[in-house]
Amino acid sequence: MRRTLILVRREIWEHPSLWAAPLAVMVLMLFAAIFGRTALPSGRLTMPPQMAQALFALGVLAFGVTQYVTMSAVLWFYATDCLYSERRDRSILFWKSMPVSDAQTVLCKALIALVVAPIGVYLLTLITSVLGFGIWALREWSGSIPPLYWDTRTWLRIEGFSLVSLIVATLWYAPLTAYLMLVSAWARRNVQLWVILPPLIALLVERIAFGTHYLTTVLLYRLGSGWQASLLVSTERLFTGPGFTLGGPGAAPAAPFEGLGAARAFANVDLWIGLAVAAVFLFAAIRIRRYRDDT
Amino acid sequence: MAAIIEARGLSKSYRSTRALEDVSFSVEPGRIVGLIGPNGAGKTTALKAIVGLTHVEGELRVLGLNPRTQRDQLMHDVCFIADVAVLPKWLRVRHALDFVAGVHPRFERSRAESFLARTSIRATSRVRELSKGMVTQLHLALVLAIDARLLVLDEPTLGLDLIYRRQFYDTILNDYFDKERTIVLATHQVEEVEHLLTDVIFIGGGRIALASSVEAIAERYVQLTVAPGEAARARALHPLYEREVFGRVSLIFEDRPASALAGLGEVRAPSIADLFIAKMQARPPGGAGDGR
Repeated sequence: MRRTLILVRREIWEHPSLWAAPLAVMVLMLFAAIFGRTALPSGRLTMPPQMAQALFALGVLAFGVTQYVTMSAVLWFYATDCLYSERRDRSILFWKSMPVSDAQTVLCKALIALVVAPIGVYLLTLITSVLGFGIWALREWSGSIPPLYWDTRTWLRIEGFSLVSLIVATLWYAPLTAYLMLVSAWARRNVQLWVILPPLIALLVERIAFGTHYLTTVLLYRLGSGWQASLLVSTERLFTGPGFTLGGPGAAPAAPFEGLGAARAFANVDLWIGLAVAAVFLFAAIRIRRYRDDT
Repeated sequence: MAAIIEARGLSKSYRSTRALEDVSFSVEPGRIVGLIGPNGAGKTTALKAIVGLTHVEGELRVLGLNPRTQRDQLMHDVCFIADVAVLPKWLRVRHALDFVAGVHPRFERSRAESFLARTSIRATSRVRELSKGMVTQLHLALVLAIDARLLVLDEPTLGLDLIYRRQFYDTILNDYFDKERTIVLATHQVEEVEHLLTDVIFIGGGRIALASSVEAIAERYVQLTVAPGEAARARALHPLYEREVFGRVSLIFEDRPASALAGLGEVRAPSIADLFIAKMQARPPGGAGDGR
């Protein structure tokens, strides 16, 4: 445990963008909450409750989505760099002089991309939305901006939905993460190019040789939002629970995790096939780091 | 006691070049072994094989383990310093200590800290802010605080100035080495290390030209310095090597008793550097190429 912790810390020392980028996004959004203006007239507005609720929900989502998009970019570069940089600067000779196995090293890097970073960013998103709306409420109290509807249940609902989506998406894209790490362990230079090239060549070969585009379909399905389909989230289901009609009397959001289709997402065999492929890629990355001769 | 390193028939090729060719040697505990050879002689390949970083043909046991398949276990007892510049540039000194303390059960942090306290390295500095000599000091501080049985050094002082080089070897000798530990170090700068070695292995073109303890060298090899007039008589005794220094001729003989030569001129044991040059240039049968 202590060992895992120090290996995780070592990754964060080497890749400060893992925390700096999400923190920068957070600061930007808090700035927006402090200095932002709206087109809405100031003073008390009368708004149908479901519209206020939807606006609020969109605000919470916006805080999250910005973070998750940033995180995806940061993790792309992390995964392509994490096993390459140590070979580029030859520091692998130092790391390999320590009693840390290649499996520990590679799995710890995967842990960063698949667990530590998503959880960290998720927590940061929670803090950002609370702080952001807190700031907005202070400004509202001072009378400079229109009031904002804070609804704890809606907030919990959106954050519950975000958490489930984040988990499912992280697992869905795990083979991509593992593939990037594999290329990072294998490529001698131009990692980004080698990430693109093999699938591209495979697609072209398939198309020319067999006239089919089966691989294209598979890749688009995997890289696209295939995971969302199984989550079965419609706007309506997101904001209301079963038995509610939007804007009806006493309309209240559903419980945080209700009816999100998480069970269905995990029952999706494609998710598990993806995870198996990810495991194979990680295993290959470990073998390459272990047995490659020209360290 | 069992040998620390037991190598039999090690061979390795990189595409067209033979890096190691049927190399056999053994290293006993408590020795300081110099692996000496010109650049490209196969030193680094041999050391990488010892720490399991490269695959070689032949039989190799280090501390009784196979370094290729039992590498993780081996690295608990073996420390390795490659060329100076392998500490990552982004690493902070303090974090380097944290890291080694976190992963190495035999690391004694206070030892490393007290060593660093004697240098001008600050705990908050990053490696990229340190001079080359300071990076080596840092690496040395980390390694010397590890209670390992075998220390493997590959050209550890490459590119350092004289003061740092001297300090490096003095520190290893004074603060680290004892009869429990074994050091194998590769270098092409012979003069630098000859006073600290107990054993030498000369390697050239992937082959071993000489493997001997330093005491045995004094018994087997003799350096004879004669006036030019005596040179012809000395040459008749088949020296391994000769060269002219300040108008006198210096010859190195193999397996010739000093008593047989004493009449010709001044006799003494050759320095390791002189012997190295003699061996490398003499090319004994089946011997070394120039390693390039």
